[in-house]
Amino acid sequence: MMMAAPTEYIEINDFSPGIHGDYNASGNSSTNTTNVGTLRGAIPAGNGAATVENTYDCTADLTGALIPLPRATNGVTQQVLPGGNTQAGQTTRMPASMNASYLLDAVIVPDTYGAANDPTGFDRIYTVWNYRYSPANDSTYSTFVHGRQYRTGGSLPLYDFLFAKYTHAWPGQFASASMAKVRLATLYAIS
Amino acid sequence: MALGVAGCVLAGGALTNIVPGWATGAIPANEIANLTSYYSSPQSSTLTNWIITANTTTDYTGIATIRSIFQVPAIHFSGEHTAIGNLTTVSGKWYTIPSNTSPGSTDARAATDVALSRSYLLAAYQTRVVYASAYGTYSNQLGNGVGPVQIAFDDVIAYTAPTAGDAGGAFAFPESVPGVWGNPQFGLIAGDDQTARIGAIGVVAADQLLIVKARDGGVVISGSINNPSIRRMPYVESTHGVVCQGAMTPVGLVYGSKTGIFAWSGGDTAVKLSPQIDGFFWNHAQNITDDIYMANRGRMAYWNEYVMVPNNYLFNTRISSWWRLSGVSGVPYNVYDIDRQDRLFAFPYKLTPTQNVLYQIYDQALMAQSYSWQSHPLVETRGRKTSFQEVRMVVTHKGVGAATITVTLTGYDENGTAVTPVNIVFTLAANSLAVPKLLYKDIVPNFQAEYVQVRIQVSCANSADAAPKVHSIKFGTRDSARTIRSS
Repeated sequence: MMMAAPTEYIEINDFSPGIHGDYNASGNSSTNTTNVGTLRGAIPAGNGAATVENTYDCTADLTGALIPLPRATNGVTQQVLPGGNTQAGQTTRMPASMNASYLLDAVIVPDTYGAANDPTGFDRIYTVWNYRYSPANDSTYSTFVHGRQYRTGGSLPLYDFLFAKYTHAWPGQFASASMAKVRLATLYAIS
Repeated sequence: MALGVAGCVLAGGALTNIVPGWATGAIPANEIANLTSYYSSPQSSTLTNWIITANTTTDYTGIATIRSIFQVPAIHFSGEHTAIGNLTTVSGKWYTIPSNTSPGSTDARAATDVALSRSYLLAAYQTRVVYASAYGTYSNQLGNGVGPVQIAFDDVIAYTAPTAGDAGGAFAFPESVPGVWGNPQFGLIAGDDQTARIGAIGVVAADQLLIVKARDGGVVISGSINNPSIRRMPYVESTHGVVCQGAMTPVGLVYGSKTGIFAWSGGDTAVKLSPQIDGFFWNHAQNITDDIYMANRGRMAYWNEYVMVPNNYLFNTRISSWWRLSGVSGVPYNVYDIDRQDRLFAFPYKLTPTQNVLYQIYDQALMAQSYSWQSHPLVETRGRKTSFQEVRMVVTHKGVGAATITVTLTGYDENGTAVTPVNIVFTLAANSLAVPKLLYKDIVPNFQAEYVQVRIQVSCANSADAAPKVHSIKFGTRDSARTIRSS
């Protein structure tokens, strides 16, 4: 079967411009396949620029070639703290729409009591989580903060080192957006 | 100069963000009862057992190690979560069990309530811990809109007394709100003509501390912090209300603003690193509808040549461009940190009943098994219907398994209707290409469209392989006649 020969060529040989976006970049799904916003204006970088959508886990090397980024492997798995709604006695105490624990911060700290300067050793990971709870199992919610230590490898012992609870005088305030800013009134370090 | 604080080496003020300060007290019985009634820990069922667990774990025996484990009462809460304590009644309290002086038992010291300083953005500087203290920017303590008269002070720069290191808890977190309720020598209002929160702090030299405010730029504090020189930096981009943990990188102190990602390397201005992507693209929480989540805007990290920022983005400093990690589906990262093995730990911002990955680990020695890249509409096809006849690729695959490259073309016809996409699939045999090789395929039938976008999906069959490198892709095209529009 015959086919007309090309008369022109379009080549992409420099992928280094990376992701160029507009306000559509606010989408937080890297696998979003929507075409909305893809008919954009001219991109100064030309054909080598990438969209936010469908561009992930790659970068370019100094030659402009497209190469993979480092691979992700799952670390520790952890159920919703403090155990999620599947735990006995907690069926309705975590609001259904907020059945999650949110990471406030995490740091990795060298285990100074391990082998000194051991490049293959493990470190400690401190995480601090926030979640909402209804201690009385009603519409009054409190905000809790929970700190838990993990290790970057080895036997992975867990330690809970911090518990904080916001106490407030206006029950139900958390149900409104006006209470969006969490105030922590009391902190406890739990060992 | 390297300074040692609590076992962490601080090179000119590197960040630890953990303050080994100690304050003590007892957990009220009613709180213990509450906790035991509804808090279910996978480690144990009662608080008492938690303590026992810590003391009997074989990994951590002895006083020194126990102290090490619990040396974190002052974890940094950044962003909106920094509002710790009630300044009206000074009811904020820290409790630490076991005691720092006698692990395994309650502390012998008096259970003194400690007013917290609403700290955030901790940094180590001149053997002190320096932090922003949001003592002046609250409207009222309980957020109900009817509380005390609003106060609009600057956030203050607070700092501890110098420390010679871990001296058994002597490196205490300030026990009062600096400059107001406590010892004023530990409080410093910098740039007080800029009434605004502090959005970023960075130590870039042993005698230079950058404070970026929410508006009107920032200030640089130089010299001894007890007798500092303070210079206004109005041309440093403000954070515009964002509070985040920046990262020290070879391109400067990188911090985030609602207008993008910026780097300050000592001049009068901050350089925008993200002109390619406008707006608050790095906000990991932009689609969150539950009002509970008002956590920090993330902790950045510098990992080899990459500046890791929240929402899965990274800035490749070698080629000055932005890229993205796929991460955990639907839950972007907001915190990054590096371990001693130079592995990147990326933390999704939440755990849900269906997302239970606490963190993902990236290793420079293990490359992704698959990736995806998508172009903008090709310049040559914008407003010009083009017939795609063939595709040629130069790729390198070196692996023990086969690899697949799928090229997808999408576009629109002259009526603006999406044309059915076409997929061109290349299969690379195992070990077949140790050097770059040209791949070639005709596109049958020809793909005819305008505003054509190209997507390249690369994957390997064997988990030990890295996805192939794509050197270039080239399309043979012809102009295409169009049909008469229907209207």
